[in-house]
Amino acid sequence: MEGGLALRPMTEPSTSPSEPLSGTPVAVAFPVPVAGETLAEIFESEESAVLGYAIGLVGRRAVAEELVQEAFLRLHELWSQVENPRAWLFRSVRNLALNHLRDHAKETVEEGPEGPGNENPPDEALGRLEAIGMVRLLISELPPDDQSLIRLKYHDDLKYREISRQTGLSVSNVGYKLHHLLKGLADALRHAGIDGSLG
Amino acid sequence: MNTMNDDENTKGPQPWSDPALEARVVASVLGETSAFEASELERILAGNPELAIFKRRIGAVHTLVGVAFLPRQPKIQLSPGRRQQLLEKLGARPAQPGKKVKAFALPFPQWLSSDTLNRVVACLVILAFVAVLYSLSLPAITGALMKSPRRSIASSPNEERPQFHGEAGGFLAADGLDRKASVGIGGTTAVSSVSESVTDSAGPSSKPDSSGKKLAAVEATAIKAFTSGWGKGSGSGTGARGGVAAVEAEKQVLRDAGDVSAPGAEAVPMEPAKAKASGKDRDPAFQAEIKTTRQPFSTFSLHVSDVSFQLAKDALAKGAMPDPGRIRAEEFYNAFDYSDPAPAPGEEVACRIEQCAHPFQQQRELVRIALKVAAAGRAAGQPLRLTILLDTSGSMEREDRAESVRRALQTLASLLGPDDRVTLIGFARTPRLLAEQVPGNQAGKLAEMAARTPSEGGTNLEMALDLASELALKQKLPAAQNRIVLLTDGAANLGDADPARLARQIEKTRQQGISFDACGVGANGLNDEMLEALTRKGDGRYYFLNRPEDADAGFSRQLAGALRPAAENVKVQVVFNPARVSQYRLIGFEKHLLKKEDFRNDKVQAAELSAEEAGVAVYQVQTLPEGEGELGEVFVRFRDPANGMMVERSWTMPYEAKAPAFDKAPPSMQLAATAALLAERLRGDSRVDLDTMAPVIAKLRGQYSHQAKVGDLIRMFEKMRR
Repeated sequence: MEGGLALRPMTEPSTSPSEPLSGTPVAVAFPVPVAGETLAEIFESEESAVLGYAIGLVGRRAVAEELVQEAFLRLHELWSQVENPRAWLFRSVRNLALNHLRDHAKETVEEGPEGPGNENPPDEALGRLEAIGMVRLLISELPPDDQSLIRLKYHDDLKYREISRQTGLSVSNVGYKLHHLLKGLADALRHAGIDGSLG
Repeated sequence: MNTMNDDENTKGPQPWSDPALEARVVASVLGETSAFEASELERILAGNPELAIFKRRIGAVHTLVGVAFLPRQPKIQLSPGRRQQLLEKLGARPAQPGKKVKAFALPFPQWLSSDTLNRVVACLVILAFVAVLYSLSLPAITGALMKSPRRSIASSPNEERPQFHGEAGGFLAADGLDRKASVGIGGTTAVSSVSESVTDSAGPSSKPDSSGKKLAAVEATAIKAFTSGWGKGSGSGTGARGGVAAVEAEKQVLRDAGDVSAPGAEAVPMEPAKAKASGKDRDPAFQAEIKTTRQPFSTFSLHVSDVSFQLAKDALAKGAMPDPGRIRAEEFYNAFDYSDPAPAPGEEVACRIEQCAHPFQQQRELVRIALKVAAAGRAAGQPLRLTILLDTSGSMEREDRAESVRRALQTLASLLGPDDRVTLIGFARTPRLLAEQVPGNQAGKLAEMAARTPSEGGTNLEMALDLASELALKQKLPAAQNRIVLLTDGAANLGDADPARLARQIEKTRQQGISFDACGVGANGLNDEMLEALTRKGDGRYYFLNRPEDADAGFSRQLAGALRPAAENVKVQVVFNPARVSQYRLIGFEKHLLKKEDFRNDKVQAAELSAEEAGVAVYQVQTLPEGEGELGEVFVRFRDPANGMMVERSWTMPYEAKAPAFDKAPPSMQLAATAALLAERLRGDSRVDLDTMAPVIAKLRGQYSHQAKVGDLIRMFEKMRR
């Protein structure tokens, strides 16, 4: 198999297996965007991640659910205009959450009944959810080539050399690109209020 | 954000930074450095605090991205009401094909994201690590967004469902699946032409053309693959011919799939001779492997039986070669108990996946997929409504057969309870109602009744089946297991009946909720093809009692399982990863193949599994060592008879770069492979090299000394080798 060739033929099959997944009880991390996906499919694959992100942002399950619902309904309306629904979804959940926090900055008491299923996770979990959500958001906004590079490294757990074989990029080029991608992510996270230095 | 990989636009570039040093740091974080380089870097870091900070930041991001890519994560969902509402709204959206700007096509199938147990464990470790990191540095991380309101609220105690840790539990998706499955399912039963099945009207998506597009995309890929040489197995030497063969194979798949779903379209074999002739040109024993790029989906009804194995054993014991047309590989390897693990408590089905190198075919692996349903719990209480059709034609009078029938009926009676009802119809030239609605605890007298019934000439199965269907429908209890069981030696004159009409009748009755089982008695003259085809139409069980003494505990278990399925309409869909598997071949199940879209079309019926029964499938695959990702994903979907709910589960088939050699494989893998390969040999595949397999087979005897059938298999092997 020649380097560089490998990437192309695999492009289209990514569409077909999307549907069996959408019913499985286990969430799949970071699904690949698939051309021709329906909104319902995106809902199935992103519900968990987006909801986790929203909870991480606002800290309250009930509010998070509302925001997520709102985001999906808006996406539904704007469907034909949105180019990158996943990135749009994460971005708009973030915006909705920030708006909510701004509008309710002074409230300390929940406004709705908090029944079972509305439980709120502890702070550490919130930080984790938010940070992971932000990472998803940032990655989903990257150009496709960069996304696939990150995927090769983190999903497929490949070495630089293997990535080089798969993509046709030189090994040093792979190192260079990943270096700048990670650095860019770190900076963007810090910019978003998540300190990538972890102290 | 798109620009963040451009150094110039990155926020806050570090004036001190030395890109070459940074790159080395990143490489070390990503595990690309040798021990020597690492120690040298440590020295540099010790004298360069800014670089050390940079390393920490990259390390943190590295961990976060790693977590974001964890293959499986705890699933959280919207509350059921909200979810339902939203799904209805989203799902009902009219399709706007082609209007949407293409998101982006990434080269990796979505389903690659799921992963092996090992990796899940590894991920848990990483998660724990992240948790520690956070607990050390939470205030800094959460930054501006983590304001006091959240904390005060978050501390309000409410811990009823700890959804963030571990699985969301059970089959949250089950109702969603049902709903989903019902969307967009048109009249899909009678699709037989190739083109129609390509355009697919039954996909679960609301976009009517989406799956058609997908298939077209797969095809386009395949074409590209062929033209570019991608996916050409090194050393397989197939090239273009392989492509043609794959097309043929796929046509075969579609033809067979058409068979399954087109009512009455299939010619149920009339007689063994004819069946053999027609089986020649569609003989799947030599079926080409299917190119994954062309057809990554392998869908079939998980039918479990051992009749073909038993018949072959009987023939070989008599010194004859079994009829190749009667060899069904899946009924060979499903004849054994592999001691596959039962589902964990609360789970309805478990899956074990094993692989080994093909014993003699280069660059091929064998994969055994075993699915086992949970022990009967709730379904055990389900009452039975049985209608037994007993063949009383002259040939059944033979002493051994009469005795077999008596034993079979006795075994049956011993499995029934007071809530069960049995209706017994004897038939020869005409059907006769012998007993109606006998309570299960009095069913012992049925054997006597059968023995007293005089035999006659002729076997008019058609008329008997009409009567059985009529009575079964009349006595049908929706909450019960409603079944017709045919007990026959299937003597040649069963062929008087019009098989197509029989099949239609059985299928019609099946659609009204009554399954059709057959118990063959005696190997001589058994119209195996026909009984097999009829039970397939009736989604029932096909079992076999050769001699009276075979009515042992095993037979009783088999019968008990057949009467009370723990899973109905069991379908399997294996989705191969074209980036890892260049071609594959399902060994056996040729007549149980389904179309891809029928997997979630619950109107398309499929086979049953009984409690604690394992259904096994064996694939031969060619993997791409240079490829990527796992082998693929196994999906199973079935109806739980206890509550009528559809259950769907999936597992990843991991890629094992170093699959064990045949002689090093686990005994269960060896046994299944042996059975599958012997079946292929008996079908006439001369490539199956018995000598290569001999040492392993010799060891199997010791491993499975308690299983009589394994002994049978070894004896068959020895006979074949001579």
